[in-house]
Amino acid sequence: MADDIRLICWPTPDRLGIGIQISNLSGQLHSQSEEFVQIDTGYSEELLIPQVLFEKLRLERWQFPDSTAAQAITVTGQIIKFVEAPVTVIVPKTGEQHRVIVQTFVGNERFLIGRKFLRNFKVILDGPGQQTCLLSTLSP
Amino acid sequence: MQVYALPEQLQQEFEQAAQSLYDEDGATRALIEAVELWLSQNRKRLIQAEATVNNQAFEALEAELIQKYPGKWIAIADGKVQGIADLPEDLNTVAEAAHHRIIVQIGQPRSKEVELGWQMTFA
Repeated sequence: MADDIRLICWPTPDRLGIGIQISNLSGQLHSQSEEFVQIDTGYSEELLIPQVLFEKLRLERWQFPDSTAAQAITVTGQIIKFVEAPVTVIVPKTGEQHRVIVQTFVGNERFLIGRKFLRNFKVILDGPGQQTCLLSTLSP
Repeated sequence: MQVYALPEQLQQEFEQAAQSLYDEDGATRALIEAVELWLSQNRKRLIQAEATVNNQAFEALEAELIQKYPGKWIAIADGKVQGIADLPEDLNTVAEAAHHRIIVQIGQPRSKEVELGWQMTFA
């Protein structure tokens, strides 16, 4: 029997994004309900989180080594060295959970979903409908 | 309860500034903020000190770990390998008192260059 397909949407009149929760590997959630996080398809990795959130979730207890950490160069030539850790991302509306690697850097306040994270989903960027949707497959 | 004394000039300046900001219980609120800030900074110092030791240990041990434990997850804390497991969750209770741990899957190549989107371009 074919799987049921559900369309799970978030109203996004001015920004494209979806609602997620982040959990450290001990199960501590970053918030009690989903937080709307903007999608930035120019960002190549999975999830960029604010530095304060990295600290709140105590992700320095799951931190990858400095020698393997990724880096980026901005258009102004500034080198950004990331700190990274594995987390679980939950999409409460679909019940999905995914293991991803979050990144942050000193002073970062941005919270962004990147291209690599989107590889877990089929996403509809519905401009005329002013919404962002995930196609969720549910077993009958 | 302990009572702590501040130098007189510092105390005067502190009380005036706190009252001008917070009215009645200004000094108490300002003291709480100050202690929270100090504790946060102290925690960051501890994390940084432990991170330095753990990263040095990883660099020294990396070749040996690749040879012995390819594909395994390892935990380094206090400058030593503290645990080896198939999943990172299995290392959650390792070195519970540590402020900083390195958790890494051995021998897994990772992309080093990140593309930042327009969001970061104008940050």
